[in-house]
Formats: sequence, C-alpha cells, structure tokens
Amino acid sequence: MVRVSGYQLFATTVLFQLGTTVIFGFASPAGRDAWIAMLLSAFIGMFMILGYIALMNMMPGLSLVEWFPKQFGPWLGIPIAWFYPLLFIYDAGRGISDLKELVPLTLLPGTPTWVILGSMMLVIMYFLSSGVEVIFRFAGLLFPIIFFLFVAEILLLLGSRNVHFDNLQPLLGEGWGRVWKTVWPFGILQTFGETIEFAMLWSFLRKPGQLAGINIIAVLVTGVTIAVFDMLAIMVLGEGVFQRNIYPLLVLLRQLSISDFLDNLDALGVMYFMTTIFLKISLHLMTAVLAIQKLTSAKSLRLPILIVTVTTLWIGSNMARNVTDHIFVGTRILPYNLWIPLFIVIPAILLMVAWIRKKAGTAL
Amino acid sequence: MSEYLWPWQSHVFILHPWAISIMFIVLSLLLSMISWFKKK
Amino acid sequence: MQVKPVILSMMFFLILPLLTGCWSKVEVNDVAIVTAVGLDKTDKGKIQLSLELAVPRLLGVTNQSGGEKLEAKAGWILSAEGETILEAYRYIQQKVQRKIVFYHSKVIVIGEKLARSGVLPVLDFFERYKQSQIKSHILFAKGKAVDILEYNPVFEKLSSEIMREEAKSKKNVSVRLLQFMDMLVSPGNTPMAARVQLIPAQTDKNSGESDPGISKISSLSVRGAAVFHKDQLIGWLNETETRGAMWLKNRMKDAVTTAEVPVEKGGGRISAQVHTASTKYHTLAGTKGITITVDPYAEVSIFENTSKLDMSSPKDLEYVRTLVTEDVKARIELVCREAQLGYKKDILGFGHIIYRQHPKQWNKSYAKEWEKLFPEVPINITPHITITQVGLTNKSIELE
Repeated sequence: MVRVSGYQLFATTVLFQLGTTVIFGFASPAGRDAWIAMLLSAFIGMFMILGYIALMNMMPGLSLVEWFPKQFGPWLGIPIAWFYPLLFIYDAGRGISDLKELVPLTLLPGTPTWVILGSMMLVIMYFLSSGVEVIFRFAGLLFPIIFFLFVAEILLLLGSRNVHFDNLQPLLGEGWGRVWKTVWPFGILQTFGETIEFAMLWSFLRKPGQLAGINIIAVLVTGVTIAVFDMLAIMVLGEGVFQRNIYPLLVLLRQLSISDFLDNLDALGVMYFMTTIFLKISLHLMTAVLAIQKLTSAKSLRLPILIVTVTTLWIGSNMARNVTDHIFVGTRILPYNLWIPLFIVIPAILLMVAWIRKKAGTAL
Repeated sequence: MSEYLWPWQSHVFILHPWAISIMFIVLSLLLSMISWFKKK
Repeated sequence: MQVKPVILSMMFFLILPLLTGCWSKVEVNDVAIVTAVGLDKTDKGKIQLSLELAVPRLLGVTNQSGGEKLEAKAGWILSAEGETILEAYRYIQQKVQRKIVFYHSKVIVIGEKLARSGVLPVLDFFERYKQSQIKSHILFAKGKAVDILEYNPVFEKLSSEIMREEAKSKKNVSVRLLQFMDMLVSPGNTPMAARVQLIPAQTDKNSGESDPGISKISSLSVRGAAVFHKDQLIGWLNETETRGAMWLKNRMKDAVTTAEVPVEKGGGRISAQVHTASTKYHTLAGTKGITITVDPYAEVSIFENTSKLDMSSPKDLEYVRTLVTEDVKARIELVCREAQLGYKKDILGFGHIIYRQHPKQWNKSYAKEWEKLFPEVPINITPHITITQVGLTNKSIELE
C-alpha cells in the first residue's frame, strides 16, 4: 500500500499549485493590484478545497471517481466520473502546449518541437510507471531546492537597486473591479480548482486527519509565494510592462545582473518552470491514470499510462497554433466551459446530495 | 503539424466552445460502457 | 525484467551525445555583437537604424599613442533604412556575414528628429523582440544618433562603453528603457531621459593627454536631459536644470551643491556633497484646487569651505544648513519654473504624483484637464537638509 507523509503531500500540492504561474505571473489584467487578486483567490480557493475535503470525509477511503457512482448510482455516476480523467488529460495537454511555446522561445530555439516534447513525455512516462509514491518523494525532494531558488531570487532582486515600492501605488487606484474580474472565475479555478485532482490521491495519506490542515497551509504558502512574485514583478517592471508581457516573471529575472557580470538569468527561471510544469503534467496524468484504473477495474497501470501519455503528447502538440489563441482559450473560455461545471457545479451538487443522504441516513 | 479540426484545438475552441463539452460527453458515455461491462 | 548489460551500455552511449547541448549552439565566432543601437529619422520619414558592432579582434589591442595610423576602430558602425526597425535590421544583417545578436547591447540612442516626431512607434521592437533590450539605457542625441555612435573614443574602445559608463554614473539622470516606458505609460507621468551630444574637446577635460598629431575635435558628453510631452521630445534641460529635475524625480544620488556665503557674513563658498536623498510629496487636491508640496530630504557632508564660518560651531553650521537648503530650493524652483512658465507643460511628471495620492479624482476630472491646470498649480519646495559630516577639519585655514 502506498503511504504518503504529510510533508510530501504538502510539497506536492504547493508545487502543483505553483505550476505555470511561476512564469506567467498571476492576474496580470489586474495591473498593479495583481498580488491582491492572488491573495483573494487563495483565500476563496481555500474554501473550495475544504469543500472537496468535506466530500472526502463523507465518503472515507473513496477517491474522486468513486464518489459519483456512490452518490448518483452507476448509470449516472460513472459517465460523470469519466469526465474527470478526460479533463485531466486535456489539462495535461495544455501544459505540454505551454512548454511547446516557452522552450523554443527561451532555451532551445533550433530544436524541433517533437524532440523537446517527446523527450519530456518519455520521462513522464517513466516517472508514472514508477508509481505514485515516487511522485510524492520527488516533490518532497525538490520542494526545498525550488524554494531556495525562490528566496535567492527575491533577495537578489531586493538587493538590486531596481525595486520601487511606489509602483504598487496607488493601491486599488482603479478600484476593485479589475481585481474581481481576475479572481472569478479564473483566479480561483486555475490553481485551486485544479486541486480537485488530488482527491484521487488523498486516500494515500498516512494520517487522514491531517488532510485539512495540510491543504490550508499549502494554499497559504502558494498564495503568499505567488503574491510576492507578482509584487516584485510590479515593483521592478512597473505596471505597464507587467501587463503587456506574456512571461513577466521571466522578464523580471532578466533584470538581475550580479555585479554586471552574471546576466540574463531567465534561463534559470525556465528551468524551475520546467520542474514545476513537469510535476504538474505528471500529476494531471497520474490522477487520470488512477481514475481510469478505478473505472475500468484494470489490474496494471501499464496500458493506461501508455495510452494517456501518447494521447497527451498528441493533443498537446496540435492544440495551439500560437500563443495568443492558447492563452485566450485558457483564460476566457476554458474556465467557463469546463472548469465551472466540473470543479464547482458538479461537486456542489454532489456535496448537497451526500449531505442530504447522510442526514436521511441518520434519521432512519 | 496536422491541420485537422479537433475540439481541443484553440482555434476550434474559440469558435465553438461547446464542441469539447460534447466530445467529453460522448467519450465519457463510450468509456462508461467499458466500466459497466467490467462491473457485470 | 533483467536488462542485459549490453543494452544498458548501448543506451548510455546513445544518450551521451545528446547531453552535450550542441543542438542550437551559438559560437562566439559566429555572431556579431551589438553594443549600441542608434535610431534616426531620415528626411523621407523612414527609420535609420545604426548598429555599433564590436570587433573582438581589435578590442584586446592596447592603444599605443602615436600609432594612430590604425584606422580600424574597435567598433564598426552599420546603418540601414527601413520602414520599421525590423526591416532596417534585416538590411543590416545582409551586410554582415555573422548573425547579429543584441544580447550585449547596453545603450539605445535616439536622434533628435525621431524623438521630436514621437518615440512610441520605435519602442515596441525593444520590448517584443526575442532578445529584449529593455534593460538598456536610453539616451537622446542632440543631432543624429549615428554621429554619436561613430565617435571614436580615446580611453575606451567603443563609444557604447563611454555612454554606458556615463549613463550609469550617478551625476546625471540615467534612465533605462524599462523606466522610460513606465513613465510614458503611467497616468500623469512624463518620460525623461539623459541627453548625449558631441562637444568640443577643449572645454571638456575628458580628452586627457592628446597627441598633437591628432585633432580630436569633439568629445562625448552625457549631461543634461531630454524632456517630453507625451512621447515627443520638446526640449532639453541643461545640467543645472537637470539637477533640479533629479531631485524631483527622486533620482538624486551624488551631487555637489555649492552655496555662496553672503559678504556680510564673510563671503566665500561652501560645497556640500549629497549622500542620500529622497523626495517625498504632499499634495492637496480638493475644492480649493491642487497644491503640491515637494519635500526633498537629504543628508550632506561639507567637504569644502572657503568662508570664514566655523564648522565646529553649531550656530555656524545651522547657518550653513540654511544656505544649502536655499540652494537646493533654488535649483528645484528653477526647473519648476521652466516647466510651468517656459514649456507650460508638465515635463516632470507631477501629474503622476497627483494620481498616486488622489487616484479617484485624477481619473474623474484632473486627467483630462491637467494640461490646462498644470501651469497654475502652486508648487512649494521645502527641503529638509541634514548636515552629517564636515570633513576632517573644523575651521578653514586662514591668515592671521
């Protein structure tokens, strides 16, 4: 039986939630108040995750895909359950697509796409085959390293003379409007709604009682980290550049120059981005594979892993013609069409049904 | 890269946002049949 | 599954070449390194792009005095015209065998004509292009940018090096493209940047020991500032006015202020060096209209005293403090007057201060009316100067 420690779950959750925001920044439409939008999103997102945990506690030992058949019966529950692995695969494809845009731009301009993505998927496939426990151990190992890099980056930036606190002012000068627009629905759903995937993995936790506590701390850490980076980006780059740039945190790193000699550190940023996105894609796929396993009563994970990996590579490669389309879909359309129903509406209905059932059950 | 039209592709998604939802529903029903079959 | 050692070692050797990272390698020999970019507007309205390329072969050669027959300069200037920067860049690339890279470009010089017609259209390239140069210093040339790039310096090998050193120095405004763009875009703010020009060598001490055989007619100076209205250059500030502007923009770092002691008190001059300075603003924007109060804070040290005042006497020191305060006030007022009465435009970005402290009112009413309101806005300057050090002596030497 796979047993995961509290720290490992924490590390995995945080790195997952950091995901792509370490490069794209968060809530840039909110301008200089983006960091406020982040903190708000974290706060609200936390409640959403607690909702998922409530579901977990109501059906102990069951994972996400098993919830739906249990509450809605096999004829309705199973098709609904299948939505989730499909969504996770699509989300993984989006991650691959992100890589497809970013790596040629910054690290490897000449390398053909299929080499970059293919190698990535091979590693992921190997990673998944090693089992769930390996993923958690990997995250547990990498977490201190990534955070050390973050702290180093923050200190270097603060030490350079480029940080202007004034850029954060006037606080909320443009009002709350644009802050709320980024918080709902995108802000909450992107980082925190996706955490519903973890409901496939929470049953592995050694001490289930810690679940709520760990997630709360994880959300706090994620929220503060991203807010701090947003703040730094705004303080150094100014609101205009922050909003206009597609990869603001990358540009932020470029501003660092250690004694005029060590320059252009954005390559470093791309590397830790690759780590977080590698983990995020792997988690998307691991949870999809586990879901498929549960739904098809498969004995070994080999076949699902293979199918899922190849599918992801395929859809990720031809998903986006260009960055503009990709980001437009990701921020304007995707949240409404897929995420709201699957991360909020259906779980909410589930929660109500389960709760009513429980009440009816105890009454009998 | 292929020029096929699939619902997950960004340009298709923008024009027909509901396409991927339909695809999901169809796929999930198909795949559910595997689950139902296995449960018997 | 037992993996045979043969397969393992085969895989190992297959992977090895992949790890050397040779795929998209860029060798130093294959690139032409741009150290400075110059932009001008031609008479036909096109953009003239000038690139100063570093010739590494000649950079290591020591400058032997008298051996000026070496005509080859370490910096090679290439120019081309185009409708856009990218177009001109392509033309220049055609003239060079190596791939032009912008990674080490530290300076962008914009010619006066282009600046006067509006700088916004040319800025996009530096932000958007893959080898983004928003960290470069931006300088505005009095005259043509290409002339500045062609300048053949004495101490350094490349004119871009001189410009970079000067631009970084704390004695003048130094604005990077990032900051420039930020000022351009922020509500109420106006950009400002350093001015670069060629001046006669005789009046400038930078020419060092010049060999009589050479005629160095000019020297590069990065002093003064360029001021704008929206994105168009409208004028220049000289050195004194720039000092005042630096106080206002909170960029004062290193400066010497000299105050004259009135004859009644003994005459002479006192020079103080500024250590740390920061400028705060207080604004009132209400029914009675807008008032701006500028509070520059600074710590200074007295390093030269040719008056009869005694630096060890608190009374005298206090008097010196008021003199320095008056001096700073006068400088800032000078440039404010220049803005309000001379240009009649907010070239210093006061609007942004109002926006920051009264965002809602700015958005509602002031933003549209700022051009009309600005010349009448009362600006009060109240410097807070602290003298922290007086150097090594107290009284200045004097004859008995």
